[in-house]
Amino acid sequence: MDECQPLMDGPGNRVLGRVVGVKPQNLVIIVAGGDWRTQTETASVLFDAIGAQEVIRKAREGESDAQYAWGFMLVSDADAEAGADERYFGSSGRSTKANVGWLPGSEGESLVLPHTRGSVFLSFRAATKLPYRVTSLTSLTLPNYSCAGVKPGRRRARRS
Amino acid sequence: MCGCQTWAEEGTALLETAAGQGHAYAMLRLAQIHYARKEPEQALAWNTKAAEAGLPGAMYNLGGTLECDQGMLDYPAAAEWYRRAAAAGHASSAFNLRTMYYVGRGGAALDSRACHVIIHNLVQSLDY
Repeated sequence: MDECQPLMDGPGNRVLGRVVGVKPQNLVIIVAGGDWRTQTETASVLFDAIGAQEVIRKAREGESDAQYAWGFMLVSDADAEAGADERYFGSSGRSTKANVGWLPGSEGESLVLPHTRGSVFLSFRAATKLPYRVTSLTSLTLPNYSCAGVKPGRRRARRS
Repeated sequence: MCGCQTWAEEGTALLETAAGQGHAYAMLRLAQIHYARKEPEQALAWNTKAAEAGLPGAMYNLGGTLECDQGMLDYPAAAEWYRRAAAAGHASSAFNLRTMYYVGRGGAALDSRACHVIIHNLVQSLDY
């Protein structure tokens, strides 16, 4: 998948922002500059767009997109701790460059499927490090991303 | 002690709150959670809400349930959910709809060419 492609959500095809980088080892698609309220199915998109603390704060204020993102993350991490086979991150939105297949360079396995034309589904096996690691109910361990900072090589998320 | 139960409970509660505000993806995620917990009635209820809210993936799930699950079979309704999902660009739904027509589950059985025409027209109507 090319970097810096417009990222669209599902119904309505609203522009969320731009993909500013793809971290090779875990294939997290990162958006920036989008309206975070136009949330895709992928919880991690909102975390990347506005930051974990802001997501948590907004969730506690009753913002439904933030509640979804934070709730999704908590449940997914709990599933993984409980021995689930894989961690589900949902569709990351549409990209006309997305194709079916296994993406290269990942830790574990990351499968891309077309729910619809051009959309992708990321599935991380249990052995794969999460891009976010829940370390408590109020904090996350976050990787650092930038558009120009997407480099090959491994950079593992810290584990609690 | 990983705190999994606490995280899961808090996460589920947040998702239920978001779903209660009409967040369709939260509804779908709750359906997945209940399905994983082997609570099919609650899973179906949340999935139906997500489908009615317009999520193609939920429509596809619902179509599959109505087409395949014993005790839930309703072929016309399944075909309609597949059609709605396909019209929103859900490729797997278009494929399943084509198959339903081909075997006669979408009404009278159609031959391969007729199925092709239906799906071709459907795809042509999609707005990308």
